[in-house]
Amino acid sequence: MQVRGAVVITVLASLLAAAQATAQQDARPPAPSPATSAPVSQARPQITAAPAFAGTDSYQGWIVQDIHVEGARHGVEDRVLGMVVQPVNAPINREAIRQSVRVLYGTGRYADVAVQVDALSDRRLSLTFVVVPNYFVGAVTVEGAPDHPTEGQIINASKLELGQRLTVENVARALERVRLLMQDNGFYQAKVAYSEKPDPETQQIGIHFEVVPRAAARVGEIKINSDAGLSLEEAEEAAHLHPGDRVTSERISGALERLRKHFRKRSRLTAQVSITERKYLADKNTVGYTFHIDPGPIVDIAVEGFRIPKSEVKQRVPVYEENAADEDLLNEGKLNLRDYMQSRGFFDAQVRVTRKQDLDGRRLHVVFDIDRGERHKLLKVEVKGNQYFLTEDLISRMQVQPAGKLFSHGRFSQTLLNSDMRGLQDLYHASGFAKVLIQPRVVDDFEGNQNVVAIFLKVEEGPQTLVGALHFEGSRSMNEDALRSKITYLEDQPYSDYNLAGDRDSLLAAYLDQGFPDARIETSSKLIPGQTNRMDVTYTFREGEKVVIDQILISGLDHTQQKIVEREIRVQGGDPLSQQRMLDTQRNLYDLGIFSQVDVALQDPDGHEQDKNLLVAVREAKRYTFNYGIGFEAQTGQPNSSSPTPQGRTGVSPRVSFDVTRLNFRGLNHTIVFKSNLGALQQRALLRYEAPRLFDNEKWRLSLTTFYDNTLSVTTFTLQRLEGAIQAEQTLSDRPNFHSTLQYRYAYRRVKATIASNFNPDLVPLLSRPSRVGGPGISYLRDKRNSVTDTQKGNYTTFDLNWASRYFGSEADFTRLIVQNSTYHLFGKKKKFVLARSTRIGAENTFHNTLLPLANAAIPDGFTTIPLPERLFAGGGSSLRGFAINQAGPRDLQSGQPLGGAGLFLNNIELRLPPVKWPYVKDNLGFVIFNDLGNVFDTPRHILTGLSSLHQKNLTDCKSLTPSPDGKVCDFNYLVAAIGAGIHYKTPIGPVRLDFGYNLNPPVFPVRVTTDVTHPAHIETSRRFNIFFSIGQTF
Amino acid sequence: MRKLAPTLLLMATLAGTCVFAGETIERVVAIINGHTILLSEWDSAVRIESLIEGRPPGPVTGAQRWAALQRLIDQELLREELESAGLAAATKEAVQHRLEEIRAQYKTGNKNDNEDQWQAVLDQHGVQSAELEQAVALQLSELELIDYRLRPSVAISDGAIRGYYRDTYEPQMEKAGAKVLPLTEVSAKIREILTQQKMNEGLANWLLSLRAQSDIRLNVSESSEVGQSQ
Repeated sequence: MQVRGAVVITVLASLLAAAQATAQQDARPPAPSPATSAPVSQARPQITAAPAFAGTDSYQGWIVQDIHVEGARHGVEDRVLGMVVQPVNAPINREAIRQSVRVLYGTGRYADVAVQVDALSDRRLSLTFVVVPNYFVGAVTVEGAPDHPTEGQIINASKLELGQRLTVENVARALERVRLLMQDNGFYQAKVAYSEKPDPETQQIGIHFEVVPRAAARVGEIKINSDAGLSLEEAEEAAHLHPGDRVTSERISGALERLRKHFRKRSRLTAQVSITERKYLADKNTVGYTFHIDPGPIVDIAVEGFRIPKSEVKQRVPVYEENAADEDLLNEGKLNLRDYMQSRGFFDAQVRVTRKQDLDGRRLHVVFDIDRGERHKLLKVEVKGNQYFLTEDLISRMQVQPAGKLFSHGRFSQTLLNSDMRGLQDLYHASGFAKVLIQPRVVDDFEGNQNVVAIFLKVEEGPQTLVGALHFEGSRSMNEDALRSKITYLEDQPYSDYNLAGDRDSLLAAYLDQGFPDARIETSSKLIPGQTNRMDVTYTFREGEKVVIDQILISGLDHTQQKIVEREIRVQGGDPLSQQRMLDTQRNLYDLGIFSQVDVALQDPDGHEQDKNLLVAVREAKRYTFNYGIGFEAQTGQPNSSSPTPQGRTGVSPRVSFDVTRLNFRGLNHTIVFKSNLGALQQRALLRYEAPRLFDNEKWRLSLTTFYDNTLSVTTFTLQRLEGAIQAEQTLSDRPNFHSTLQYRYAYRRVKATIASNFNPDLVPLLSRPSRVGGPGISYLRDKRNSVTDTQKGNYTTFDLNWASRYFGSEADFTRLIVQNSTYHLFGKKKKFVLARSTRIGAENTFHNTLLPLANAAIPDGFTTIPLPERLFAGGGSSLRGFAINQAGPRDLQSGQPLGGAGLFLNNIELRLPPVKWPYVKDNLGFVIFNDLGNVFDTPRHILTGLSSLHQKNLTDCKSLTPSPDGKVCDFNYLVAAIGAGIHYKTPIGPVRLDFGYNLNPPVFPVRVTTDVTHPAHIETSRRFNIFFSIGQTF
Repeated sequence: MRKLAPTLLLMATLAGTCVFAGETIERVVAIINGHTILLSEWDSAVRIESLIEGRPPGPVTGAQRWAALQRLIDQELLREELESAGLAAATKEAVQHRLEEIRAQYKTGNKNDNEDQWQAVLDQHGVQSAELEQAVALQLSELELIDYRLRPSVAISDGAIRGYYRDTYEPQMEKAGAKVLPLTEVSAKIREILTQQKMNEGLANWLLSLRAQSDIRLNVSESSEVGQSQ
């Protein structure tokens, strides 16, 4: 070694020198630019060579009289001086100077640190630490981006991370990435310029890319190899790629995929297609592509020995998807087919695969040969010996299933059983049974029944190991109580490595949240002497340095007022660095809906300084959103003016919609929304102003609404409504699964109803007259449901009171109170059934000169009534499913049209059955059985009398085409019952429902006056069968 | 951005006046994967190299200083590799042996070649004994690493030895008028020479690869160094 070492030492210096020649080129900084144009990322200070005997050595023994700082941001000089370890009034010390420079540089705040000396008299000197600040990536903006790539794609491509130290290298890489992105999208002539916006105070630097896309390149010459198996023209057609097409990344990747598909369709399952050359011609602005196609052999895949549908084979043999037919894929296909057979009862099925290529290499034969064996039926799975877990809990975790509705022969394979055994053992291990033994025994021809299989699992749980004493060592920042509150497995809880790891992660998360990003926690455990089933657990902490937030720097605000962002930030200067609070801040800002991108990061995350600036960079979303659409609308139960029918007809109309949303109005996160629908059945316009934080309080929300509605919503009449409302919403509680709000509002509206021509002439003038309704209202909402879209437990209550009075400009004086309460209960052995109930009670009361019209009774002169659109209606898929929409309750005895009422009672009960697993729809399909009871009543008083009767009163008058001479008027005040069933399909926005309702005691009513000569006066009964298609739960 | 030109101008001017004004005694000159190389370390390396190579103390050219900095960078890259390789540090004996070799260059053969004379040599070169020892220890450890890493991948065939003997050794010996020894006697030395050559090539490639994978930043430029000498 000594001889060799001597040789090597000699060559090392020359070698290192030789190696430098190339390496220097990589590390060499760019040539200095003139100061006037050099970006900050390149503004590195230059240095002259120091003399051979310079430095601290030439001042050995000199006394440092004072120390200064230059170049540091105003206000942080003292902090810099605090990091200098060279003492004042002491001899200069080279190691102390070196350490000071290293510490200062290690903070990450400075690109360069230098120490200057000024010699004073009497061998005394003055030291100056000169620092050159680093700059860190701030907001990245783009100007001139085309449709593709978008501004966001360009920013992402640059990979300039918020807070990252800006260097020449990462700027150069960013520019190159952006150029490549532009080229991928066809912009080969794009000009990408870059500029910086430094802020010396914060050391942040904004990066601005200016993109000039110029003309997009076109596809030039396309070439393919001669043995591609198709002509150039055929290839162009198959790829949908032709010379002259615009170059986009989607078009090129699509061309490759289409070519592969072309060959797949022709059974060339192993075809390989790639682009081997892209040649850009600048003078023509075209890109030529050379495709290399290896069509491979025709692959014949056959299954012999058992008939398996082709679609199933394609799904289970991965050769179809992977464009290869190697051993691994064929084996995977073999196992998949075996599983298929076993899932159909052929538990002993054997699958062999053979692969044979023709001599000329043009055809590859793959044969899956299936020996199906006898068909079995898995009769039962029995578990014995388990004490800690219930048998059904263990079986429910198994994939092996006995024969049932879904799998008529059960579900079994050795692979599934092995997997189940591992799963059950893991379950026991996690509960402290480290020595559990589970032995499966598969019995064929069970109890003499041929091909009937039973599985017996013998469980030997062994002793359960529990946690003994807990020890916490090395934790300075959190006391033991705080640490204990973070972990689940305390003393006497089941012990397992898995549980221990989970608790360690919880503790680590707590430390990360307390500002210790480098915290480390180790766990150790040992058996307590003399005890076989208790382990003492020790958590050992290495906290590391605590990092706290210094300043919070916000960037990217063009229109938004700074306070809007500040109030969503969950940390402040001096707080410990908390990953959770950073995430909360980011989520809060996204939730405002006015930012398309929100990044929250630390400035210089790799720096060693313990005070870190927190950066919040936002990108404002487009403030104007326009939506428009053209379509058709269809609705049942529409009135027909030419031939009025009490239960309505189906109406169809084209429909145009136009919406405008203005976000972030005045930079205050206020929103203005205009929505409009125009069709023959409905014309609606809405203008709303929303301020999500009234009084700068997140629990208060203000909205101002103007609304125009002209709609055929009730068969009785055409409604016109012009409304203005102001509403303040106060959130009382916003905890998980408990949300309650109060809404205070004042609404003023003008309503007008156009009534069918055969309506009772005594009521027409009153009901069809335009009326102003105005007054205050208050609503209370209490929501304790576990899920809004798919509720399984909890309750939901609403209370809504409106007061229309002349004192508020109303022409009718009345109050309306609607109370609804819904409850949801899970029950059954496995808590899979849901019993849902909802009760709704509504009452309208009049005062002053406003009266409630009883059926066919005239209103005296000088009095008025509640306008028709303001009355209570019921019937429909989300109401009383014994009636079509709004068909319940009192009717006009001349036209037969529903009249609405002033009292409402509705009780819905639903039994929601557990979802059933079906092929394709998985467990998204469920069934419902329901019973709806209730009706709309003439007055609130009639609710009480009506609830006691299930039969319609005064039927003689109801079935008479002339008013009954005894004066007993057809009465609709009784309890209507409906039963039915429905199918629900679960979707992310709630279930799609198809409900079938059957009315047990529908009302009978006369149509005594009609203008339709083809339908003279007659007696009608409300439809018994009603079908409802809707989205969302009934209640 | 146009509005910012004055800002940049001001910053560049400030940096120039602050940094270039007085006598700079310490400075960060390079950053290798976050590890700093300071001006004083660079100066020390120049002096130590001069001492080890037996050059008299005195002025060095800018090119020499620049080359010394590049070697410092390479040494730092190898030091990082050394940490991850987990090799044992150079022994005290090996370090002492190497120091003796260096010291031998400065022995005059007089009986006065004692510690004082060696200290005078060190003082003339501006090198402290401890830092020389440290530098030698690091150098030896890195040589061990190079050997450990590269030697196993080097294979020298008999044909290559014969080729070197025929094309290089024999002509050189004849030109020098020295006796040409038979191949069997010199083949071991030729094998080692060829091994070293291969290892040299391997080292150059390895360093290139390390540089490519590393974050190397310099606060000095070659042009400012090479243009000066002391």
